Amino acid sequence: MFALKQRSETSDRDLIASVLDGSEAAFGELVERYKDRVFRLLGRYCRDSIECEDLAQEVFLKVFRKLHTFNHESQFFTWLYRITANAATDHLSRASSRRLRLVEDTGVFERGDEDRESPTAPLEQQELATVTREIVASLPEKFRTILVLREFEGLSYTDIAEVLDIQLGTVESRLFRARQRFKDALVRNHPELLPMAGAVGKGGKR
Amino acid sequence: MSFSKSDQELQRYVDGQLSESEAATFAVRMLSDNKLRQRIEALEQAQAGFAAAADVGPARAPAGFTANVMSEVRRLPGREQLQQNDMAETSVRLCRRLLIAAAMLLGLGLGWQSGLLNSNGSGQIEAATPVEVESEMQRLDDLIMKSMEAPRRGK
Repeated sequence: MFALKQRSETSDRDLIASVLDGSEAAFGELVERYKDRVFRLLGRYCRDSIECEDLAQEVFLKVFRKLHTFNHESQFFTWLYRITANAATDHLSRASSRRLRLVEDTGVFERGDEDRESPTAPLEQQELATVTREIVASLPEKFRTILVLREFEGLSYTDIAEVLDIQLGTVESRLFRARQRFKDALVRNHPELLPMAGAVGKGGKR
Repeated sequence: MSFSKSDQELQRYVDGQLSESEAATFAVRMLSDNKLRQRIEALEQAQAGFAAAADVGPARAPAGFTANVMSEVRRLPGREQLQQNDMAETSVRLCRRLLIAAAMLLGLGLGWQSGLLNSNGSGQIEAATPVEVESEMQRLDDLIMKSMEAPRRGK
């Protein structure tokens, strides 16, 4: 989970002010600060790392171009996430003929050692993970995005509301419906995985 | 698939979005309410796949990514120019929306004028009968045929 950490370095607000004053280094610092989070979110939508890198670059260039429109009413990272989520969904709709899916071959991405899947991870858990990604990928875009933001990115309801620019109540009802759809698909197509999901859930609740 | 008050509370509890006191009250209620406990277990069970999928690991930006972005940024026009471009884009977008709205109003007006959107006085749009539709289509066909004939005759 990527909760915002208290940072001792320059605040986002100061960096943004410096960028708007013409500091290139300040923008470099912003990119450095958020690139992994952007990559992580895009990684839920792209097929491979090249596609992901292109999209991430597109996102940061858009951020640079539109930075003067950021009004500090929300946190910078939710604004950045909104641009990222929009870029991802636009990309999916542009490429709908190619039917891009959530990453199934996760091996194409660079990962830190701490994130690497354990070689002894039970096969069933890997199957459950694959099935989960497949089901999420098959959901309509608005349900997929809200599940990605909540379940994978660990965003609070308030942050999701800011990212998607919707009311808090809409976040809750949409999330509920997305989970219902997910559960229905799991029960319908993979009932054998439900008991296993329970076992993972007991140890894996975040 | 309705979203009830109790669904809302349950979901907030599972997501850790209740306040401390609300969560404590909910936990006490859960102790004496088997049905509630079962619903929570079912929800957690269905969600557990996300924990498994999240554990696969996050993607990381490759080395040199920031440098690549910065070299692209250097090719962009200056901030002042970007702001001007943005204002121009906003104006174009606004004009486009106004034009679409005007076109829709014009279409509605023409439809009304030509009788395609007849009102029966109750404020509701009256559906045309198949015979009326057929005769209207015939009339339009005749108009098209006449307009196609006119230039030929002119030659």
